[in-house]
Amino acid sequence: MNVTIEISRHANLFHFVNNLAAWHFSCRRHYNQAWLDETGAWTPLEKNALDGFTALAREYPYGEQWLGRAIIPARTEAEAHENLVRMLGTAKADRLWSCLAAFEHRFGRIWTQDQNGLKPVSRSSVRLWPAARSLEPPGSWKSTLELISLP
Amino acid sequence: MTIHLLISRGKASAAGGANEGPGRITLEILETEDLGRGVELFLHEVGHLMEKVRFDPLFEAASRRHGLKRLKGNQGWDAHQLVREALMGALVPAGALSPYLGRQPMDHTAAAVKARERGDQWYAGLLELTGLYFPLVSEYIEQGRPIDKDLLDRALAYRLKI
Repeated sequence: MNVTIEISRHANLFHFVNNLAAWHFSCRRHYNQAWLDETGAWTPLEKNALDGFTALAREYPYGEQWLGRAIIPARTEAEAHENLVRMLGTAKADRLWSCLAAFEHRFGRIWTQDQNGLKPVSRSSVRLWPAARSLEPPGSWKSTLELISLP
Repeated sequence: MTIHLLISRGKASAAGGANEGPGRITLEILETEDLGRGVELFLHEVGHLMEKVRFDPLFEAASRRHGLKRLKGNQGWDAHQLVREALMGALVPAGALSPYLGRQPMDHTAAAVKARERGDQWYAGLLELTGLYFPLVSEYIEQGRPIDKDLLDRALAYRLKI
């Protein structure tokens, strides 16, 4: 199995807003509290944007039509927008894009520092994944995945 | 396999997801010290991606036998989703596989109590069920047995305790 690690600003902006919207029980409340503590209270524009995001996320929830499938795998912001247009149509795609754009300033402050945390994680993990792959049965992750997946 | 790295907050708060389609997972890890947990999360999420081949047909049949899809959560997990997640959680992270990775299984019951105290009811419920499945999944790992109808029937017998 080849493992590729990707870090992109647009994927992280989407993740940031998706979690802040707290539309699903699995959104992580302690992230949101920390991010608000670091960057201050909502603006009215952001509150509206969160409502707009929540409505779209509930319409296209986790599953085959999940919004994140259009944005997170995209290589560029432009590709993410094109994927969204294909998935949602232009009007909804633009609405979602506006919701994300409302958080550009707040996210920018977080991203400036956090991208410096993700890069070392990525560099270090390059050493870890081959180590994990090289474990041999019995009891290796490989044998466990075989227990789960193979006939 | 592509891992999309995402930001997180808090010590030991690494998390993951497998919602972005085939061959893709997300890992929320901001600290290199959380990479050990990151490897476990990687296995957990890859496990979800690989469920379709064999686990899903077995699980769908068991779910039908036990009427799992009729049990809907008001705000959190539906039973069908909860059981699937708890079974994978009993493997990794901090589960039956962890000792083979040089890491420790968690005390799921104690962790569930803490989660309830801080108001994470959905996570507490998941931890409680994961703790119930842990001995069962450990038994299968030690015996090198693949997941089968018997394991799922035994797992679903716990529903009276949820």
